[in-house]
Amino acid sequence: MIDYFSVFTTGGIVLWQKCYQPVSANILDSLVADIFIEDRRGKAGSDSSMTKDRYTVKWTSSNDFGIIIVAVYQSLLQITFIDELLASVKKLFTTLYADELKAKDSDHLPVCHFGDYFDVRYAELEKSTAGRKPVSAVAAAAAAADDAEEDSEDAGLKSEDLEKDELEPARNGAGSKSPKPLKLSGLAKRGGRRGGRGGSKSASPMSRESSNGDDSSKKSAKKKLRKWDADGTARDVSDDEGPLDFSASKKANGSAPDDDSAVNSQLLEDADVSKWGSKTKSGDFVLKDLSSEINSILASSDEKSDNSSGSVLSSGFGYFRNIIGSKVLSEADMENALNGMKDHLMKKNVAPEVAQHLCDVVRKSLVGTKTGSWTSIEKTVRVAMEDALRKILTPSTSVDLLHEIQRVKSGSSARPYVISVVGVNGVGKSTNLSKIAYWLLQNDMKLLIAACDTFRSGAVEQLRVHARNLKKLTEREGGKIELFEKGYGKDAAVIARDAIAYGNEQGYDVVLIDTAGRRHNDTRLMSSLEKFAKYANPDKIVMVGEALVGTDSVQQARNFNAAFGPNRNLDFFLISKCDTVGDMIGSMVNMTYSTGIPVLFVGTGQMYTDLRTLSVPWAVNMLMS
Amino acid sequence: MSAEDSPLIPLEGTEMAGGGGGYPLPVYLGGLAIACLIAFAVYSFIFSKTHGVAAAGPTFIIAGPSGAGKTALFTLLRYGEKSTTLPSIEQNISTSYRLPSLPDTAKPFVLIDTPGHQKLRQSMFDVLQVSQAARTIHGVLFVVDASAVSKPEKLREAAEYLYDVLRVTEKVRGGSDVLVAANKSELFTAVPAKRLRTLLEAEVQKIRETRTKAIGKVGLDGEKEEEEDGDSATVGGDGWLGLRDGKPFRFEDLESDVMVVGGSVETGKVDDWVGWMEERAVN
Repeated sequence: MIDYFSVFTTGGIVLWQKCYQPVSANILDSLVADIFIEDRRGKAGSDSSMTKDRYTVKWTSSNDFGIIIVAVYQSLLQITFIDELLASVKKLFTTLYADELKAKDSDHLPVCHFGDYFDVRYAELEKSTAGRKPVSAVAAAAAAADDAEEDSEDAGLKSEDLEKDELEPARNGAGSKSPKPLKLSGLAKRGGRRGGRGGSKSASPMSRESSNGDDSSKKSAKKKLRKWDADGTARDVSDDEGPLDFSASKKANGSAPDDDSAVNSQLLEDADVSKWGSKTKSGDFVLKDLSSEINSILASSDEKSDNSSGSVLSSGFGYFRNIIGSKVLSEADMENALNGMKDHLMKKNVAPEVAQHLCDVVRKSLVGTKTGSWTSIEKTVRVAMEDALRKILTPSTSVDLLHEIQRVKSGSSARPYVISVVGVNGVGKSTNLSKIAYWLLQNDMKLLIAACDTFRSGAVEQLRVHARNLKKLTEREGGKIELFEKGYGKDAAVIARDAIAYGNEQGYDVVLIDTAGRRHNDTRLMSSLEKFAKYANPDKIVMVGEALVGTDSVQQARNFNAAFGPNRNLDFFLISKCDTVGDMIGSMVNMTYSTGIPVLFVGTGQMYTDLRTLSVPWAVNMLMS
Repeated sequence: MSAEDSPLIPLEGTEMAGGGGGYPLPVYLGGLAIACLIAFAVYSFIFSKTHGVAAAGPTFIIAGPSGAGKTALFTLLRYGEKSTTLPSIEQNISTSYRLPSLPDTAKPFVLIDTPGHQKLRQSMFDVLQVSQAARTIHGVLFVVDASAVSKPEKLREAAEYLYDVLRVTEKVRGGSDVLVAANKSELFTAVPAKRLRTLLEAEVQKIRETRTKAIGKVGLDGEKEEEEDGDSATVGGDGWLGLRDGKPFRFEDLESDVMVVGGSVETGKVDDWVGWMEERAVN
């Protein structure tokens, strides 16, 4: 069911992993990078799951230990217990290996023999859900077969496969029936579930039994639990009394009237015995101990977290800790600082949605960590926020336009490099296009400007003026620039295609395409962009967005990014009019956040030379000032 | 010391008891609390100094693009075993790395493995700059996947990162030593170290051409000139790296000593790299 499960440090060292199905390292790497570095979780993605291609990833993390736990499985499958599994693995792992993980800079890698714990817990959860969810018989059979294989592999009991196969039909029968008696009563409900589990399947019956026992005696003290453990085992060996005690009661409660399950239990008993035969005694003990240990750990950490909340002394001490530092941060501690930070960001024109997300990121990254010495919470939050902003604004691939143009120009099939600008009306598409043109002319490129705004009157003339100016400016240095125009009213996509063909014939280096401005929520206008992308197929599609726009920039970026069809996205943003907003450059963050596409250029004035590349430290400074 | 200390304690005690008549008890408790606080504050202040790890002791930094094998190299060097890895999100830091050939009494090294993802590289430059300023840097191990550089975009990525690293190492007089560790030499597609060197030089040459012509960064208009008259003649504020003599770029032109050495973390063939570190360790 699960393809891959792993516990790794934030440093990238895998502490423990289990691979059920081979998942290529590339996919894993890109998943981890997407989730934890690029923060690309999709629009619908919650903060603990992501679906990409055919895989779904769920994760949880523990900041105080610096570990991340991920489970990867096929998106087709609905695994209901994943969250529970992740939570319990986190608890188990942090409890069992606390010393190993906390030990900074020990002389060996943290050794985590977690496999047995995981298998037991996994089997438990799987069983508990097998009875609960309405699975189709086929799916159940498939799953059962799957697990039977896996577990038998684990135990090295290949010979048992046959027996299990025989069991399967019966198990499935019980599995699909068991939900019915669930409606009995509180106690019966528990038992019923057990019954369902027991009936549904069991690759390692011993673990099932022990889990039954543990669960039913969960409310009693730990010691008692252990005592039973030993007792149970002892009886297990001598006769059938021990396991029958529980299985009998549970079957009476659960799917009692079913002859099927009686047979089933009988069969299981047989399987049980045969397992005894082939398995070493010590091995079985381990299994049982683990199960109870797991449950006691899970129970104890619950208590601990209850105790830790609210004590006058600790809160008083916490105040001093805030001044001196070395305080373990909780969500409540950060609430004030984060609210302040959110307001601050919103004043900088960051959309509320984005500001909230940033605060969530910071909260997540800080909760459970210790503040540095002499560092207040506010300072810590601030530093974390700077990091988060830097992470959003830094591009994940570097864009070197000149280099790419050179490559296309000198490649085997030389052709002009095509850049097109899109955007909402009046953001400065033509102006910034000519700024880019000026820069390219300075670098001895031959340019063709295609006037594909065939809608707004004066658009072509405007470009003609730009082209003339640029020609005059760079004539002495041998710049070559020409305007390709076809008048008004024609289809922009066709003109663009013709322009590129013309540019190719005439040996131009770069074709710059200007498009008509369009409102991002006008589907009629936006839909023509898809055709445009198909016909012109630009190397780079630049969206020009103005720094002046506020919250709407999120939606603008999203809609434009989605307008070019499923296989084409924007390549980068050019944020214009940055000189008009001072330090309120939040739109940059909005746009990069909502699409994951970097800001490359920034327009800073009215001159042809007033184009700059984005400096991330500058932007972060502006936003945090 | 203890002989001196012991008479002091009763002395203090008697003084406090004698003066105790004048002040109510809470004042004493408060004073005691403040004293404790100060003691704790001093302690934690001293402790906080160790946070600037890179400045604390002789440092080696592992850098390089994502997927090159940095973290695996880190665990191999530090723990003697190669770990399975996923992309790093944070740095791996060891403050007690001991080179095998050096005696145990020698000061241990700080070994920092930095994330290779483009979005996280800033942390590497921070550490590098801190350690250069504190003169604790002994070398940068720039790990490159030698089997991937046959793809132009991978070569480009590696060269761009290396270029940025060199621009920082060239800032200080004499430069810092950089080892380009051509990892994964066990793979069939791996490029030999010599070839990698020429590939990287050619790529850096291209990068410095285009970087010089690139549009300036916003908000840094004034700083450009400042950078230009830095210590070193081999790095200009405009992104020029190496000598301005019209010849193609060569690593030899730099003040930093750049070596390209092959090896493999997978098969444990890292002796040459460790040897390089040992050479730098004694400096």
